[in-house]
Amino acid sequence: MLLEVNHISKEYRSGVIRTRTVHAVQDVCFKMNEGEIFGLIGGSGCGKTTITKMILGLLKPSEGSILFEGRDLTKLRKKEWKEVRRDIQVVFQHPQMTFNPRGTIRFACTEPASNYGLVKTREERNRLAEELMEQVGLTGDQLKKYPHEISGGQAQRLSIIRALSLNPKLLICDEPTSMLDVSVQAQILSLLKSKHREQGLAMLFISHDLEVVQSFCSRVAVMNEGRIVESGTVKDVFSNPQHAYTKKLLRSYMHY
Amino acid sequence: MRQIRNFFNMLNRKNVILILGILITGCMLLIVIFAPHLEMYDPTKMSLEDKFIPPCREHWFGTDHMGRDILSRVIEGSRVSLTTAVAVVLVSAALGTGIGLVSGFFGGFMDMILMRLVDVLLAFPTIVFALAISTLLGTGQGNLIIAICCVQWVRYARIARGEAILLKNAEYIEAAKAIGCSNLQLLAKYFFPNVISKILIMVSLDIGSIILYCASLSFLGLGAQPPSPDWGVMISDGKNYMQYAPWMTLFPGLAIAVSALGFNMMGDGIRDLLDPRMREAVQSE
Repeated sequence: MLLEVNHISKEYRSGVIRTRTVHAVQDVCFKMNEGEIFGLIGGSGCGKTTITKMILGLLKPSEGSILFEGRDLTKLRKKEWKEVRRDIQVVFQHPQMTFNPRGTIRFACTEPASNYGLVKTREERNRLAEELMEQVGLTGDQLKKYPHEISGGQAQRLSIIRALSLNPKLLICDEPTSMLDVSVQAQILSLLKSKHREQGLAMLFISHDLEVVQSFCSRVAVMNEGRIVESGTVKDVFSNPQHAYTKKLLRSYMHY
Repeated sequence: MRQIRNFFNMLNRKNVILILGILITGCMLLIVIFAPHLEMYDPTKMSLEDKFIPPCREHWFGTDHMGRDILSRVIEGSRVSLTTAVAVVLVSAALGTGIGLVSGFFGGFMDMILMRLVDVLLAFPTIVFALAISTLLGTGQGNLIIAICCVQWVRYARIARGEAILLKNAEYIEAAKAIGCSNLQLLAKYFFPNVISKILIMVSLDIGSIILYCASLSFLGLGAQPPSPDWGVMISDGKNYMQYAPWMTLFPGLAIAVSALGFNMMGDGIRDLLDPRMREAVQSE
C-alpha cells in the first residue's frame, strides 16, 4: 500500500463567542497502490484541494491519519518531512503561478534538484536544466525567460518535469489541465501517461473533468461537500453509479 | 536614433519629474564625490578680517561670522548631510525589512509583540521620538544615525510584513514548500525579491524627509558638532545673524531644500514607473 488516508477531517472555526465551524473535509478514507492512478472527482469547493494540502503537509488535519509507505505523515517532524517530500510531488492548477515570478525558468526548473543536493555546481545545474527542457520539448533559450513570458502549456509541462526530477513515488495532480485549452490538455496528459508507464509513477489525479478521469484513472472516488460519497473502479462507478450525487454528476457530463 | 526617439517619448508629464529628480540627485552625487576639488577655500579655515562678506565674486555665497567661505562649507556639508541620510535609510530599511519579513512569515506570538511595538513607535511623531532618543544617547553624528534608525525602521517593517502575509498564501509559495525549500530559502529566494521593489520605492521617497530630520536635529545641536560643516549646523550658526547676514542661513537652507526635492521627485517618479496601474497611465498620455 503506497498511501492510506484514514478518516481525515479538517474543520475551520471562526468567531470567538458564537463559534461557527466549517467542515472542509469530513471523515475521508481511501487507499492507493504503488503505480496506480487514482482519480478524485467532485464539484468546486468540495474539499479536493484541502485533501491534497493535507497529504503534502501544508495543512494539518484536525483528525485522522495519513500513512505513506507505513509512516504517519501527520506525526512527522520537520527533518523527516524533507525526506518524505521528495517522494510526494505535486502539480498545481495554475501553471504560471507555480513559479516564483522573480526567478527565471532556469532557476525554477532546477530548484527541486538543488534543494535535495542532486546538483551542486553551476555546470551541473545548467546541464540538468537543458536536459529537462529537452524532455518537454522546449528550447534552451527559454531558460532565460520569466514565468509570465512562457505559455500556460509550457509552464505546466515544466512544473510536471521539475516535480519528476526528484523521482517521486507519488505525483499529486491538482486539476493539472483545467486552465489549459484542449490541444494542450492532450499534451499534458500524454506526458503524464508516458511517465506513468516509464517510471511506474503513482498519481492522485484530481479533476472535475469526467472525460479525462474516465480515460486516465483505474479507480476513482467521488466527493461531495467534504465527504467521499462513492468509490470504486472507473468502470463500475461510471456505468453503474449508486449515489444520487454521482448520478447527477454523470448526467450533467452526458448532456454536455 | 530610435533609442533617442524612445527617450523623448518617455519624456511626458510624469517622467519629467523622474528625470529632473535623477538629474538633481546625480548632481548631488557628483558634488559629494568631487567635493575637495570644487571647494575654492578650506571650509574650516577661519579668518576674522573676512567675516560677513556678502555674496561677491571671490565668495559666491558670502562668508560667515568666522570668515569661512559658505560655498565651500555647503559643498563640504553635502558629504556630511547626504551620507548621514543615506546611511540612516539603508540601515533602517535593512533592519525593518528583515524584521517585517520574519514577523509576517512566522506569524504567531512574536508577530503580535513586534507589531504592537511598531504601533507604539508609529504613534509618536518621528521627529519627537528621534529627539528623545538622541538626547538620551548624547550628541554626535553616530548617535544621530542610531536615533533616527530607531524610529524609521518601523515604516519598512510594516510594509514588509504586509507583503509577506500576502505572499504567504500565494500558490508558488506552497509549490516551493512542496519541492522542499527550507524556511530560510523561502525568505531569501521568494519573499525578499518580491518585497524589495516596494522597499526601494519607500527608500527613495524617504531620503528627502530623512535629510530634513538630520538637518533639524543638527540644528538643535544634537548631530554633527560645530566645526564640522553640516547644513543643519550652518543654519543654526546663521540664525543669530539673520538680519545683517541672511546668506549664512539662505544657502545651506537652499541646499537642504534642493536635495530633499531631488530625492522626492526621483522617488515619485520611480513609484509611478513601477506601479503597473500608473505605468499604463503614463504610457497612454
